[in-house]
Amino acid sequence: MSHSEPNDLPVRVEGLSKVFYDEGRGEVRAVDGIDLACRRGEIFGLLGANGAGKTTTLRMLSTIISPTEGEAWVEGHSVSDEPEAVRRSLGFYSATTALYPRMTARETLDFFARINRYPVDSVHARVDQLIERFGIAAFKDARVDKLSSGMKQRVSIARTLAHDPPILIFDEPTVGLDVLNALALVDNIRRLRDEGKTILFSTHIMSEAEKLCDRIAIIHGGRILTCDTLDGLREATGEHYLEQIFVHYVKDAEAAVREALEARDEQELADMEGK
Amino acid sequence: MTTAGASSPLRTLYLGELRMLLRDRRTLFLSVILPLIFLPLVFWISSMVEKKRTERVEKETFEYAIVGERADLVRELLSAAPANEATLEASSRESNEPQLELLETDLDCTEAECWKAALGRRDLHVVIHALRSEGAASETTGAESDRPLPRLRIFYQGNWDYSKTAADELRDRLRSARDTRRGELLAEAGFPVAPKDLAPVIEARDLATAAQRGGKVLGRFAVCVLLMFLISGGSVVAADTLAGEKERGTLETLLTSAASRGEIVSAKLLLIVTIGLFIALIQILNLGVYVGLRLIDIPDTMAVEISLLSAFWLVLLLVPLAVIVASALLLVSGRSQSYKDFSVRFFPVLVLLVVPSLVSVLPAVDLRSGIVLVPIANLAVAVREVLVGEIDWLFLGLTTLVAGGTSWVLVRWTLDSLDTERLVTATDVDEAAFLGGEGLFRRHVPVWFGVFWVLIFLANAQGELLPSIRLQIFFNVILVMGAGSFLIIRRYGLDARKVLALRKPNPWVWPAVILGAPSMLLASVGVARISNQLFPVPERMIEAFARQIMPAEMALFEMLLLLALVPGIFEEICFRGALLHGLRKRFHPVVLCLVTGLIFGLFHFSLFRILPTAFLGVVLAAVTLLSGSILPAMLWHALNNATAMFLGRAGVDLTELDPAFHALGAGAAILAFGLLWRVRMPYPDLRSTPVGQRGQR
Amino acid sequence: MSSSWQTSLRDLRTLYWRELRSALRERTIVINSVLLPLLLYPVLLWLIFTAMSFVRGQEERFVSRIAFLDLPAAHQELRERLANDEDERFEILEFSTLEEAVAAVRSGDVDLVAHATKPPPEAAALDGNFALELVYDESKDRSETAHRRFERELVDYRRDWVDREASARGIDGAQWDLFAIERENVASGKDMGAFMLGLMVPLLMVIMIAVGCFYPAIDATAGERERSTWETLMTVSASRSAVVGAKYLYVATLGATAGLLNLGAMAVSMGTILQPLMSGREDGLSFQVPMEALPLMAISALLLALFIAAGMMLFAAFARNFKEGQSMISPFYLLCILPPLLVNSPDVELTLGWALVPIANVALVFRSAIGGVYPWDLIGVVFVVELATILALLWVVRWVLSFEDVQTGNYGGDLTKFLKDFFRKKEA
Repeated sequence: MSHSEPNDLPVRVEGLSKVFYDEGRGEVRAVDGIDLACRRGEIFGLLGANGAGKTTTLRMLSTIISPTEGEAWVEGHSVSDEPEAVRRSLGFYSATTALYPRMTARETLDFFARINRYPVDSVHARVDQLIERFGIAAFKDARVDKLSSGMKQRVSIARTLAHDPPILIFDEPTVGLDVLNALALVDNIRRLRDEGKTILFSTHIMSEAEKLCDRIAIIHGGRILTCDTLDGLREATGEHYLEQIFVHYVKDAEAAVREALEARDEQELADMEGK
Repeated sequence: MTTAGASSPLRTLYLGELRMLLRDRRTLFLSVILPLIFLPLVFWISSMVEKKRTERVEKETFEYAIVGERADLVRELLSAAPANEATLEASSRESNEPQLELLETDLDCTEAECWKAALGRRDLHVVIHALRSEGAASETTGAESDRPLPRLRIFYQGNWDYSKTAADELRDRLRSARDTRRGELLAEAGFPVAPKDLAPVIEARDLATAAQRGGKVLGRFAVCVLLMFLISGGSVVAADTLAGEKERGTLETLLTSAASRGEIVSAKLLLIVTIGLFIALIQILNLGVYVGLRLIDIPDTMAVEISLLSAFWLVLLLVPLAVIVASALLLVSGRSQSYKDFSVRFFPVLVLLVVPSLVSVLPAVDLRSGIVLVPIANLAVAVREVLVGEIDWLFLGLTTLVAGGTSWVLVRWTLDSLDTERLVTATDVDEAAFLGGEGLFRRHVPVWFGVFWVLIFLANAQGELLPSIRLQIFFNVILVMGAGSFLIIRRYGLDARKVLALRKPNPWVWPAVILGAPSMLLASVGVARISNQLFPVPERMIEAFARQIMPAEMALFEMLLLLALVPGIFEEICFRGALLHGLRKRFHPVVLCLVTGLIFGLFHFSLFRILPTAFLGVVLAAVTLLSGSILPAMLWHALNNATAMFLGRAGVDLTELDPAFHALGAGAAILAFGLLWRVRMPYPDLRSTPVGQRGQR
Repeated sequence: MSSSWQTSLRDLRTLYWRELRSALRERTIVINSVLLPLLLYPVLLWLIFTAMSFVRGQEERFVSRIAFLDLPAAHQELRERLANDEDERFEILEFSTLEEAVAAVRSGDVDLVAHATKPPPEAAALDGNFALELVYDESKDRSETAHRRFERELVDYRRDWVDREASARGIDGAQWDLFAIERENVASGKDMGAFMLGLMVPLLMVIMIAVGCFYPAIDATAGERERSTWETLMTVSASRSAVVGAKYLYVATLGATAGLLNLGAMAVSMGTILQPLMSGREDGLSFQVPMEALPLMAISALLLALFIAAGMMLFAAFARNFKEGQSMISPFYLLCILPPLLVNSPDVELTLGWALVPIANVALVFRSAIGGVYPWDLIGVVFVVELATILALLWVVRWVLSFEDVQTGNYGGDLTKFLKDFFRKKEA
């Protein structure tokens, strides 16, 4: 129940770790002692390669999975102790959060507003407002499985906002979208920030992070290597492009990882031959 | 924890799910329309096939031939009109059985081979061979008759339906003709009454009402049929709800909403219960319509009356049934990654749910026995009793409690499956399969033991395959359990020492074992006596088993070798070695002991041995886990068997001891375990924390 | 020309083996086509054993509690007879009045009351005769058992009495016994075993073949779409018919395998299920499928599998994913089970009429082959009928697959939509 004091930090993460147990590999530390803090009204970017631990971190924040060690607070609510309060104050969007195919767009928004405990009296108004804002009106009564992917994506964002949460988490939102839809989405995210939402945004696409994020954390091998504004990172590394900055930080860690991987492969090959 | 002004998430979830379901025409078709058509169709076809068969039998002319010296006698007897009333057994013939049309034909045969061939060609249905034989045993007295007695042999072709029917009919007619004849003989000799009027039953007063009799018939199948309806309706919804959501990717969307997992599971459970009950209701109405239309025949005597009290109990019993079915299905769904995954797991669950409900079909099963503790089976028996009008508040209450507890556990497990991250966030990479070895071994162990079980069972069920106890032990214990375990250890390239826990234990373990084994035997006989109260065993079976397991002609050293040493070594290698090692990461150590023990018990097949051997198995697993080595368990097992053997030879019947001895044994066993605990050297690499951590979500 | 034939044959083979290999790595298919038929019977068998020993144990504990009232002194033997029963199945209780005894039946403390009364007029002519009034409660298993047991004992008592009277009047020996009767089954234990197998195997064979085809049929069509390997496959250079043909043969192979495995498992297990039940009645019962029947059974199983596979693939072709596939196929699957139910009666044999009914005819071929009867002319008719239906179905499959929308899975398991579209196009 511990509330974080500085109210300007809607998301705060301390020493967060996640250990998976895998039958083949044994223990895997997908996230390894992460500390973060998001400021109100900013877009905070998590930049990392596939498997770096972005998704695991965000899933812990949205309480889909629980942390092995450490703690995180969303709007002052602890993810381990008050998961429902946490979920009520955030909207989670990712490529894997699909929509119910047999609900209409309108019903979808209504459904999610209600189960996220948006005040009942205002649900209708809220849904209408979202339909208006995301241009859903034309297909609001069509079933979701009949919609095109661009339409679905609009409904999906509206769904994320159904209960008007102060914090939004976008986990690799542009994966699988075409250029135009991706651009529209990025645009939408920026507009949401301008409306005062706090946004956590993960991606492995450098240009997106460059364009969008107020601050960027580079995550690799389950650890945060650095966290600063784009300008700050440029200053610290002396590189201009984010790509080069990213490589700069990751290089050392990467080399270590590669060695470890090669050693493992060799060992396995040796084992197989040995049989 | 509903915030003021917010709608109840449970209601929103439930209504949302319901709406989506109703829009899924395909699911509705599969779960409602299809069974609605198919089930009565099957009933109708089977009753029609049966009706057609009766018609054919009535139309058929059954041909028989009479050969042999006393053909005249047979003809004479058969020519007398069939006189049912002459038989001593008034109830031996149903009056509504069709009269068969019998016709004698000529058969030019004197040799048995000849008419056997004729029967084989199906030239005729039956041949009666009437012999003027001597010294045939009298049928009624069983004594050798002093005067020659004609011997009638009815030859028929057993694998030809009509031939057997005709043979039965001819025998019955001959017998009843004989009874008539005897009556006449007695009457001639001045006996004043007909034989059937000796001590006649003039009134058979059945205290049961027609409704009770109807209830008894209905009660045998009620729960089974209801279960089928509940499952057929619920499974399609259940598959769609968690497994389907995972497949479509909507589960994550739902999990990031403010609805708690408890609410999500409850809403889904409620949905399955509603749909299951709804479909069961429709099906019953549907069957009612067919019965009303006389498409399906039921006996006219079927009359079921349900009093208010019975109705109350029926509802109280059926609600947990629906919840158990729904939560079992939801659990399977929660454990499955996709629709397909669900279908694979569905069949075993179906069997698991339906088989216990068949207990009510068996006669002589009383709710006031161990059955009250077996979920579903207890509901089936309880419903039967309620339908008969027998209300036993205590045991019905107990049944409801057990059923409620079962559904609670199942719901709890479903909740856990939503917390088990492996199940919620699927990874496609199957590293265990790629790497092989240990990980794959752990996954495959249950399947291997299934194969062992089937092998041993089949080999032993075929009586002639393993005629002697020596061969049985060689095959079951040495070949399958021992060599089989080594085979799988090799197959996965594992270190046998590690798998079998071949380590030197703490020296203090040995005295504990020597004290523990015999005293635990005493205690376990006590357990067996209790289990015999719950699951009584035919005395004859125990005796036959004792004879078989302790052949008197076997030398002592051979018995020691075969019955104590060999099982001690090989069964341990198998169960406390390979099995325990393979399952150690799956369960909490306590559960691990119980599970390996139960599997060990199941390998002893027969009902009355399962509980005692499972008990021994649990003890041995605990010994292994505490000492970190398999060697003490081996000694314990061998000592246990040897003690039982010596006592058996000395003629001491443990089951007739004073209960105090069992208590004494239990005390000493506890002492032994205390010592084991003091010097424990735990089994390495056990599961420490549950994989799916329970959070407050 | 011949070289193109060879190429497509080679393609067919390559594709066929790929299907089979990946199928054997797929859990669903292995479980349903291989493990289920093999393991089902031993487990069922064990359950039956367990249930039987449980019931026997319960029944043995059922000592029938009988109360006699007003039994004439001359007939105390009836009471003695029960009290001295070899298996100790009876316990005699004493009551002073009928009301008390009946109340005890009602409360379940007594299972049966035998009340001796005056005999009816037709029986009264004999001195010392009496009549019985039985009171019991059929709604209680225990009481029902007691009633059954008592009636049987009473018949024996009557028989002894009649015998005694007869011999007292000098009627005995052949005059009284008249004849000894026995029944002799000409069929051997093997024949009987085959007969019983023949009653059970056909229906189960059909079910198992259908189950064996079920998942492979979905996997080969809808499953490919779900994994989006369908398009990959459609772009290979092998001809469409080779692709579809290979899939078809593979589905049929698994179906036939499941059926034959099931047959083997049944033959092994049946002996153990039925032998103990039959012990004492039919000696030397043996459940063996005659070796010479196996080729015929294998061919019939394959034909049936080819038929069912064609039907299932026809429906599964409309589906886009596993779920749709399942709901498309299920009705067909259930439909397949109905014909063998029609002939599921011991006196139905293969006739020309039945030979014309698909599925039912193969079920009957199974039955006669197990029984060692080979009406070759009818079997020939069955094969022709089956082949004709298979070809007809394959023609329909070909026709359906010629629609691009079906190939791309646009109908999404909606058959009515397909038919509507088809007829609309036809009109236009």
